[in-house]
Amino acid sequence: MDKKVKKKKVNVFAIAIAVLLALYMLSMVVSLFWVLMTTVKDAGEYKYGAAFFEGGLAKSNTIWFPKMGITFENYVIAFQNFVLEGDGEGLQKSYNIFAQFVNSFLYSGGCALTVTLSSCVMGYATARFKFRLSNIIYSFVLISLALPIVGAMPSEIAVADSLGIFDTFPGIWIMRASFLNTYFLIFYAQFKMIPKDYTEAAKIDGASSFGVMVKIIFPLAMGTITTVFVLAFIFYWNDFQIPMVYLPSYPVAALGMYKFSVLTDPDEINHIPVRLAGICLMALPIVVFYGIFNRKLNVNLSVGGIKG
Amino acid sequence: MKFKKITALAATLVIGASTCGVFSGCGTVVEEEGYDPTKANLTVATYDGGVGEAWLKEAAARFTEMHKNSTHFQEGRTGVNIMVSASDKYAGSTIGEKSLDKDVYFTESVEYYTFINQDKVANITDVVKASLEDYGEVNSDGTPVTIESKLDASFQDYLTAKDGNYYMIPFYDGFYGFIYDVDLFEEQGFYVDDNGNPLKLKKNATEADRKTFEEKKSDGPDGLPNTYDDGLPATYQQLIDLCEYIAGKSGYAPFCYSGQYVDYVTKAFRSAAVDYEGYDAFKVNYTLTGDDVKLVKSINSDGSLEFEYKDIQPSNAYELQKQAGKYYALWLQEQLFGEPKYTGGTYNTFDYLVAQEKFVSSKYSSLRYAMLAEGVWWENEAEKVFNDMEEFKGEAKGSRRFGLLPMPKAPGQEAGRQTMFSANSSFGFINKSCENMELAKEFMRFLHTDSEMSKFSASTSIPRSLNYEVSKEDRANATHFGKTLIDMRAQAKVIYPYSSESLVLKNPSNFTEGIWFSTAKVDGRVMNNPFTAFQNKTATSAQFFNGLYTYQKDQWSTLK
Amino acid sequence: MKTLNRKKHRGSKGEFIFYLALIALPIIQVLIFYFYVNFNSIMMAFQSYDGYGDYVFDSNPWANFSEIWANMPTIWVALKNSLVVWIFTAVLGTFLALVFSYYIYKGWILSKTFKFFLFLPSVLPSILLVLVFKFFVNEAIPGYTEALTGSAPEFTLLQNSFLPTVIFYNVWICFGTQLLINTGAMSQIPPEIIEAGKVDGVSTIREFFSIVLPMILPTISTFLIASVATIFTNQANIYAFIGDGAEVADYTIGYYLFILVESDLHGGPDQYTYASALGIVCTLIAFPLTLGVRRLLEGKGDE
Repeated sequence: MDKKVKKKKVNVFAIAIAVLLALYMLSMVVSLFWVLMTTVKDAGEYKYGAAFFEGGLAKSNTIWFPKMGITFENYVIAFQNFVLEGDGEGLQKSYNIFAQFVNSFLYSGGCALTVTLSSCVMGYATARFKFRLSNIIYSFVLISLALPIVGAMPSEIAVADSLGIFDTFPGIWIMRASFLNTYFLIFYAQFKMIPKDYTEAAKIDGASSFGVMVKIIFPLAMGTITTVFVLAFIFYWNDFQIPMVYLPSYPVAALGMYKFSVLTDPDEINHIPVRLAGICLMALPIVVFYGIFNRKLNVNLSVGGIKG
Repeated sequence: MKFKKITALAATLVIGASTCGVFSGCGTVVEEEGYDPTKANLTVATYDGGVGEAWLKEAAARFTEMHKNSTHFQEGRTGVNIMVSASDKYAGSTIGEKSLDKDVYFTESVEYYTFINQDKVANITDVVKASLEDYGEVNSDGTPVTIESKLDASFQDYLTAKDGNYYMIPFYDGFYGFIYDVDLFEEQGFYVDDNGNPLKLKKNATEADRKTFEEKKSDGPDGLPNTYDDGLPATYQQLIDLCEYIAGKSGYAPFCYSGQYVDYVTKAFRSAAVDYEGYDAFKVNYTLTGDDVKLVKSINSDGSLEFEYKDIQPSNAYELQKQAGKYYALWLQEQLFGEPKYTGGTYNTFDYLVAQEKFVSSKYSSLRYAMLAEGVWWENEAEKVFNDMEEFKGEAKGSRRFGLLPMPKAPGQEAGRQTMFSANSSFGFINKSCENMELAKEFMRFLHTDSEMSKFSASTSIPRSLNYEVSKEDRANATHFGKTLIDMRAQAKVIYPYSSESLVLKNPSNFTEGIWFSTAKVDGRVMNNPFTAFQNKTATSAQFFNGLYTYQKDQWSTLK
Repeated sequence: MKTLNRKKHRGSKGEFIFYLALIALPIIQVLIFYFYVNFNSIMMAFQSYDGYGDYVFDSNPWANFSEIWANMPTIWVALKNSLVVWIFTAVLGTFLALVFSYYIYKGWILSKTFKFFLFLPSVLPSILLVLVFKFFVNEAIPGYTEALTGSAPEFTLLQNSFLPTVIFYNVWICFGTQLLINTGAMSQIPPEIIEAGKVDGVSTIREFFSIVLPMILPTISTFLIASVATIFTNQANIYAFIGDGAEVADYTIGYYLFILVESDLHGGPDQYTYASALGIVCTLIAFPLTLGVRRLLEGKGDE
């Protein structure tokens, strides 16, 4: 009898959350369904409605199922037209979607690697070594997240230029290798959590500081490292503002996406169905990437550890 | 630091080396596509937004033809070869950050002084001041015509304010206003006769019918018969009456606009403020110096105005916010856009491209729009919609007729020619490291002859920001919209928001559209958008007008 | 206390050298690309625009700071909005993320599917999300309303309640990363503590509020501490929705700073100096605020 009552209580809380979550999921599904439906809708029907083509009145069909049948033409047009030109002394003049993917991959892969490495090493150093400097660094990271720096771009370009790393991939990798970010906080928490005994034991066995870090601690944190890398990779993949300024010769897919979403050209790509089809094409690799790494994201990630 | 520099260098070398074999031209200057080793070459870039690239290609062809036997541009080479590239990557804001790789540029959104301060732009004073006599251009009194003499005084002052030199030449005019559907106006009687009655053109009208129709039209805002503005609303009241008339007809709405860029609407009404004040009085907004400037002393309860006259200096130029034109423009905007009744009574959230599309295609929908709040380059942007209409309705491009609505006159304002306001920071210039400077300069000079600028107008329907006449032949080649604009521009005076006044130069943001014309402080609240203020009823036009003054007065002491 | 610790370790000198070697490169990176790069923009706060593309030191180095005073009405509104945005995204958003995380942590029905959708907005490009959301608010909702009721609304949500709509969007997309971190933290709670609760017969609500939340408090507080900083930088995606055309009534501090520098409708090169001064002032407020919140939350968490 008692047990039954308890079960009912459980259900109320769980059901309340489940309803919220279901609503949330519904909003996502409906939105994405609309996107996919629109990409296979005739661009003319979207604008003027099906009746218009049979001599009727123009009334855009933005929300109903396509009446004129499903078409993949939008994807074809998008693929053919979504070509970006490189600006400076790049390797090629024009980049189609695949070439943009290559740029995106180099940009996000490289940046994700350097930012993960830098944050991980700094997180390790500040969490495991109780020097006063560690505390200063930790506080400074928190402050830097609060600092709204304005107008630093021209200065950053000038510095990159004088170091000879402007508009190069290694340059952008180095410039993004900062630990002033939340990844640092994640690593800090992770390394704080690993008990001291681990390292003490290894030290007694004669392991060097470097050996302790690389052979004992980092493998323990491999899940976190992978997760941060994946998160950073996704972030950089979707970022267009930085490459637009700092990699003018190597347009990335996100920049293509941005350009086609704000497009003002009186071109055949200037239809919402075509634009959406293009954006979907460009988002495809990251969705596939997410599909593959989805499981990897199931790790014990935390930024403050747990109370204990 | 050293380490990083070295790794960067090494990595660059690795990447460079691995790809060098694949792409030719690595390590040397990449030769432009279309480069002709037998001719003197010039690369010209243009932003392909508002005016497109066709005008430039046509002009380049004429220049090439003119110089096909010229040998003086480069030793051992005969003729010239102009390579035109057009792209959105040549927007002024984008190229400002980078090194320039073309010889000549025509672009927009240029911050003139920030740009030339980077030392990338050639000094072209000699071009701007050179006589155009060799192109047959001489004044009637025998004095030489130069590019400089075609520039408005405000441009002459502004462009040379720093060191007396010219580095850029203004490109094209950016007028905002209301585009009206000429066919619809004729069909539905949206024109008026002398008595203010609706004037309709019969269906299947004959030549004779059209003639009587034209004769019956009222004189329009300029008060002159047989001009481009005949039959159009001459006063604010007539425009309001017209909107009431259109809204009263089932299936029609007066205005289409972009709900996402409502500043287009505000800018269209700004044209009314400028037209009310006229060239001399409105220019003071940028020179900040004027004697006996007419200002509003108070607004009476019946809406009429009491005036006063003040001398304006930079120290008290915030008083300019009391110019009556600004009040009337706000009042008109409140009347027409304060309620949704003149905008189809429904939501208008489209961006400007969709607004253009709705406006043009509304001919085939259940709600047809009579006017669109837009900039004058709209026809180029809406090209795709016109192509659609041609494809789906067999309505050949150019068969639809549109016009730019001349601003009607405010209470107490006399009929007369228009004063227009060009808000467009678009310029042409030469790259400082251009290798064939002589050729670049000659091409620049060529493009600024009257004949070339006239052809520009015909090709783009948009005027260049210089004074010149459009020839009859060229006018005939323009679209109907282009023709109305050419006619209006020909008899108008144009305000350019520039001067050499140091307060304006040092505080450019205070004199932007968004601040100087639209930021007000009402009851301690700052508002920067009359459109939403009127629609949400957070301020009346009178409150907003007084707020423009309050905001500037409070702000004035902080200007540098 | 800390120096004492250092002395306790054997071979601390060698350790210190190793420590320096570790942090050297990242520190150099930050010295160049943070301190050196930002030095100019901080200096700008004390300069003024000369009208010809240059910035010069003025006779009155505090001119930009007095401009802040003159602009208080605008700044005040922006600050208020920034706080509202923070309350919804950081406080409400964090709370919802915790509730959702708990659901997934418990492995209740469909939790894997829910997790997939909660994380999806962090994967999809924001350009796509904004476009979809804008479309829904501007086209679909009025369209379906018209179909259902026969008449379309006069204004859309983005027109007559811009900020609330944009805040909703920001909450809508904010769960991804928090979810990962929360479920991570929850899974580290020793099972015996949960079991003990079960034996005592606590309900799931009690379990959530009295056991799980206190246990992962350090995680929550780190999140909140880091979020305090964003009060002054968060643009809340306003630019993506309306470009530079937002009303002052809808400004956040982050958006305001952005507009001053980037917009040619409301800003210009002369505003770099004022924006820089405003940025410094914001930092001066954010700095003690962040440390204060940190002390408050972490102090509680430790004891």
